Amino acid sequence: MKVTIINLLIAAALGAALAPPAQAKTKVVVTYPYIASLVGEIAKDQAEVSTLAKGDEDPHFVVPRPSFIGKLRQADLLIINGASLEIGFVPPLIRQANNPKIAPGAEGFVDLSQAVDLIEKPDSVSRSEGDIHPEGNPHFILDWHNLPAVARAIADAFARIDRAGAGTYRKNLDALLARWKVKSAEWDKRSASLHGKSIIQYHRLFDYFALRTGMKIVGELEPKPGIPPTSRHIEDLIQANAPGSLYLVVTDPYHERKSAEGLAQKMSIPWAVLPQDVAAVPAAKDLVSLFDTMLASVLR
Amino acid sequence: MLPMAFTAALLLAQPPTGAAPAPDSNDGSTPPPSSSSSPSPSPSPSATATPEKTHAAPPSKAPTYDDLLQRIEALETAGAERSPPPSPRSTAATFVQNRFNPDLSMIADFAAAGTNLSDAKAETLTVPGFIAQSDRAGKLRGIDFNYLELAFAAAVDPYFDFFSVVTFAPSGFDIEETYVDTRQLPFGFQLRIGKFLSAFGRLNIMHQHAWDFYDQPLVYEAFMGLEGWKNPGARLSWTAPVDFLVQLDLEVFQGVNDESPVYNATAYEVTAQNGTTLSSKAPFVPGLYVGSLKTSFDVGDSVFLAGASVMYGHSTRTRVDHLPTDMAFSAPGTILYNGELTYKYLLSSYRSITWQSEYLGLLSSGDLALAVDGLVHSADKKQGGFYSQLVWRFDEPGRWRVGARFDLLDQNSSTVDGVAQALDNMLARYTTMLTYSPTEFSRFRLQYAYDRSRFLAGARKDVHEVLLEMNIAIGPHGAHSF
Repeated sequence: MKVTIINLLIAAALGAALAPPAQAKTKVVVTYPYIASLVGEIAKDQAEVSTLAKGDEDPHFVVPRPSFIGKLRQADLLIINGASLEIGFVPPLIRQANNPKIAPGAEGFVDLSQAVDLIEKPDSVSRSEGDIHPEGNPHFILDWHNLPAVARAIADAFARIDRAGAGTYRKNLDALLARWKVKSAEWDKRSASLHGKSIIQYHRLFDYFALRTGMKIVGELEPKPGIPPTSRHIEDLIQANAPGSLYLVVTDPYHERKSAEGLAQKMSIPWAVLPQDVAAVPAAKDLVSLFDTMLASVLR
Repeated sequence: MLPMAFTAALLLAQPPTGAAPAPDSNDGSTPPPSSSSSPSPSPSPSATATPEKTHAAPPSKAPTYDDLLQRIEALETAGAERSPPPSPRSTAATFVQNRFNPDLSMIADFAAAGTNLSDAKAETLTVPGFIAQSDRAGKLRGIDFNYLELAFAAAVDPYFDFFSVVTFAPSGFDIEETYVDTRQLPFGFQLRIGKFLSAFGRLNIMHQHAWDFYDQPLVYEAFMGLEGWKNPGARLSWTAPVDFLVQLDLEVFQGVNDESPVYNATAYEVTAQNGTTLSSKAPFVPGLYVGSLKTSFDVGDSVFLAGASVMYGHSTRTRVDHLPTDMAFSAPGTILYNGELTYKYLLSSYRSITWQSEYLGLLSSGDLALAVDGLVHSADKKQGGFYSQLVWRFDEPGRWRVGARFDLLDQNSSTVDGVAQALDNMLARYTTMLTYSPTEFSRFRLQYAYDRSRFLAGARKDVHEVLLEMNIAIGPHGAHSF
């Protein structure tokens, strides 16, 4: 009896080992929730996705949990935002994962920032200017018209590593783009009333969003990127902007709110917390509700 | 966890692949990407103007997708006759290769120190059975320049990454690490060859600027030495294919090391007072082996990291403080082992509480050659100690951290010919620190230590130390260590 069970186990193990991995899902690691949402749209159940950052975490300062290394070790595909947003936590994880499939330069490494034109590319870089990104502003996903190019880059990556599924990925991509076109037109229309309004933001996070909606960013609460607000800098912001010229102060879900609230009170204008990613606030459940929530927060 | 700067090379040095956008036609005719896609050059001018690439005219409202599509069509029809004849480009930089320069970072460390003992006296401090003479580098009274560290990193070729750290200190020039890592081994393996810091324990692999305190724990000073265990050798590391971390490191080192307080694979020779010469054969080299297993997993916002390591090799010491100075202690199969546990609770993006503890133990038995009697005696050592530290990163932008550490050497048994030596076994130190980092590139740290482990001329001497450290880094962005 014992022997039979052991034989069965061995047979099962051999069977598992020898079975063709045709139905094997593509293992994907992504850095941010919005990428996971896109992967979900394009690969549906063909992918098993792990997301490193949480939506309400500062995307620049994701804690490099050692368990991420195990996930990267098994990944077929690593999709990052790029433009140095992950420079502080992804490189050592890749190095320790010992997985050549997802190393920079390999087929399984995708840098989405390569798919879009970045704005605010500095002519020269110096850390005296704070935490600047030499490649340009990395928060490109907050312009809904950048999303199709990003989605296409993801679909291309899937088609590259799983050729058999290329047709499915393209079909899913086209379906997403078609829906997105409708939503984009809707958002374009909804944001028309924002055109020309001046806002102050905490960090250079919503520049693409402002550019798309036609809002004018007249300053940041941070004196320089990555440097926390000072009372002197906030005083400068108040001096530089005539009363009544400002529409809104916006901040993100992960920084302290006192500075944004304080400035808004002093200037007698409203302030709002905008999500910068899927799951950054509870209302931003997916990509569509992310932009719905952003617009709802600034339209008042 | 990893030395700074190297990591940045990975993202910066590599050309991106595959992510270049295909022209958006939205009609389902996107060509399937070819698998032979070489690193994509920057898109051609026409590709740059793909409809999805917006923001061409930032001042006004950004053009929509359809606007751009129309614009492209107009440009394409008018393009041919309008383009000017190409002007010859300068060839001055044809052979300039500075884009192949490695990533280079520099780290400088300074400290102002105050103690209740003069430097001359402090240098004669011992920790009985453990440290024969205290190295006061970086803790001399007044202002110290501790070191300038240069780190170089680049890919060698498709097969290897290169990394090197050299330091310049008042005591001289040192090649701390110089090694290559393989880039393409399959099945989760990586091979490191060169001179490097051992993966033994939690802290040995970290350079000083990655430590939570100014100095290492007492038990590291006693067994690993102030510089940590570094030596020429090779490491095979393996990461398990599981959703948490399981990492195994196996290392072979030459084992010859004058700086190590424990291991040195050399022969000894002692000229006894009666004229005979006591000596040993040269040990087999490479003679030092390390195995280290680490695992880490998350439970919500709690992160656990546990590990165990063993170091095995030949110990030769020519000075042990509680024995006559003219002697040699030689133990071929000396074992150093550790167990460690780190618990980190993440309060937010910036705030966290980390509790980290580690035990190190030493088992050593061998020959003790004494010049006094010209005889070789049998000697055994069984020693151990631990540290436990708590670090709280407490403010919102994450600039401040405060911490406390308790050090204790609690096992200190030494026998010669079976006769136990009288040694203290409750050797403690209490340390607190406050660290302020304006950015990730600059750091100021105030540390106070009350050291009850040191002995001056055979009697316990309490040592009080206050240190104010400044650490500055320039160059590529370092990674945040866990």
